[in-house]
Amino acid sequence: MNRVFLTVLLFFGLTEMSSAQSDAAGWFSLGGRSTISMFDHDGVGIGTGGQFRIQFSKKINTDWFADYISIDVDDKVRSEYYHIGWSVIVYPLNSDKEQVKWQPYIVAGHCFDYNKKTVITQNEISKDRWGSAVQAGIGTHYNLTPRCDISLTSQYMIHLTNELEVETEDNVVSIVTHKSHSLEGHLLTTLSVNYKIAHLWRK
Amino acid sequence: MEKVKWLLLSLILVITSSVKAQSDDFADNGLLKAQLTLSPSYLFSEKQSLFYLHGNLEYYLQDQISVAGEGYFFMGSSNGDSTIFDYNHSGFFGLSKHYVKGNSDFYIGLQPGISITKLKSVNDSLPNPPNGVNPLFSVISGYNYFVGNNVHFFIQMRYVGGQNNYGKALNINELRLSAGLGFNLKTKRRKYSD
Repeated sequence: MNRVFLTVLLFFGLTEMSSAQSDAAGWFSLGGRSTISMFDHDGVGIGTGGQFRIQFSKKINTDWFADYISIDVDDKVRSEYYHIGWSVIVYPLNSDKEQVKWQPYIVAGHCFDYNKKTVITQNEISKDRWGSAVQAGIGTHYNLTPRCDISLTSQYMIHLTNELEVETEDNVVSIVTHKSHSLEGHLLTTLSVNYKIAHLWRK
Repeated sequence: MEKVKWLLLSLILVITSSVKAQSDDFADNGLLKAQLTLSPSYLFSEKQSLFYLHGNLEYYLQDQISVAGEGYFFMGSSNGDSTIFDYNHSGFFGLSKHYVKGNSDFYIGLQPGISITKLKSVNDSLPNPPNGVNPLFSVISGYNYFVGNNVHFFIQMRYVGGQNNYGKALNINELRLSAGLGFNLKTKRRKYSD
């Protein structure tokens, strides 16, 4: 009798444990994002985009994103940024994601960056450039459920390329390529929603 | 002693099965919803009321989480006046968190989106404005009440943040209201709650 009792108890214990446990590695998430671009010499702009994440371990996640950001430069020029890139997310605290509400992280990565500047009232006056950029910052997930989170990230992106500058002289607007290499960029603050849609692998 | 053991075992069984009791909430995992309605809005920069044909398709990924795609087709000014837009269509995609009790379903959500906007031409100041795509930020909040198995009433409020940068720089922040009757379908058998 004791053996039967212990076996049944162990069976129920394991069943309940397995339903509560989760393996953080291998999750594939998909989500949408809104971004505010600030502290850029262009001004403040809004962006929209999406991302997917692949989590490699409890402490390491990766974020693969694409953004389209449009900035109004002094009501004269439209500055459009297209970003496509990736970041590594490191969880220094609360790495057991499914059991915490707030999960802060450090983020850093690289992206390809396309910028096009166009005079708003004269579409034919336009200049563009391709480039590369690196970004780093901090953020936090707020886990709405074990599979769904809302994330706030703030990161500074440094453009590793020539910048396009807007110059106004006697009310004539022109766009010029600024050739000096300085650590110019913008602060990108992103609010995103994400859902874990598939567990690609388990340990 | 034997009796105590079996009683304990029965208690464990009751507790584990009661945790998996059937939910009485109508909106749960697998629910598919569709809505189509006219949506009035208020454009803050122009102090003007516009209206749209608003369509929505939403799927409940979990009992509390849904994914939705929504589209707004620009229909003009709600009082028949001329507007600053030739058109200002928009589309949104995002997730919502639901607070469900019985047939009631309150939700809040985040839906990034885009607008396809063309300003109306004005003889001298804006002779031929181009159309363009503008990124949008939006948050939504709303309430559904399910009646029967396939119909629900809904009301939704949406704040849209954005800027048109084609032809003329124009803030296109709006507040949009939608309400009406929607249709829903359970695509999964009612499951046991987690």
